[in-house]
Amino acid sequence: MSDKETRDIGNELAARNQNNATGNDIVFDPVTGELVLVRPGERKNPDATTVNQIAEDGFAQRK
Amino acid sequence: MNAARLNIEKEILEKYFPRRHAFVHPTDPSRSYLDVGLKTNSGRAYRLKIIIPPDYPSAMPLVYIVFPNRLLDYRGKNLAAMGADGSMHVLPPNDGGCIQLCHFSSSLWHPGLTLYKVALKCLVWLEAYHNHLLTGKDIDYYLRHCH
Repeated sequence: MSDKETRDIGNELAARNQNNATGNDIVFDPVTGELVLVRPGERKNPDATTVNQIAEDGFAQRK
Repeated sequence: MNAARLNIEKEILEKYFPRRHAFVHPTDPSRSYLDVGLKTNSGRAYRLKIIIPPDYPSAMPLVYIVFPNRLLDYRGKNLAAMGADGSMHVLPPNDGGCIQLCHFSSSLWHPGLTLYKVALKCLVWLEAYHNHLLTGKDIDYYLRHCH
């Protein structure tokens, strides 16, 4: 856990928000309970859930 | 929520959030909620209260952050005091001053979505919030709005 990991996730979210493809995946690792950035070629925990789509679907707007 | 759906939700949450969640009043539709603990990459712990509406899963749950009970923005302002704020993806707080998170849009909500997916979406919000604390950029710099 570190600011660097936080910034890596933030940079990935911002890139996706601006439709800039990075080839990375954001996954939820149930072992650590944290979001993890998985770069191309890196192995994922088989139990991990990819959250790319959850982020890209967008968040509700003000009602 | 009927018993069959409750069992499905429990099974998924037990797999992905073991020992980090609890259903409260699961058989009382008027008081039912999910208490779930989340942790960010920066090591901060949060507790969410996911209120399960009587007609769940047809209706979408509401999500409040109950711990910490006061979240500050980059400038030190209480997020709850902002009320509904699109740039920060928050909705009006509850009577206790706990902020309410935007997650799925009600227009996109469908019964196939689960409480696990709602919790994951809120974890994404929390990571965006921590980046806001580091950079000062609004949360909608990191998280897009539903269209």
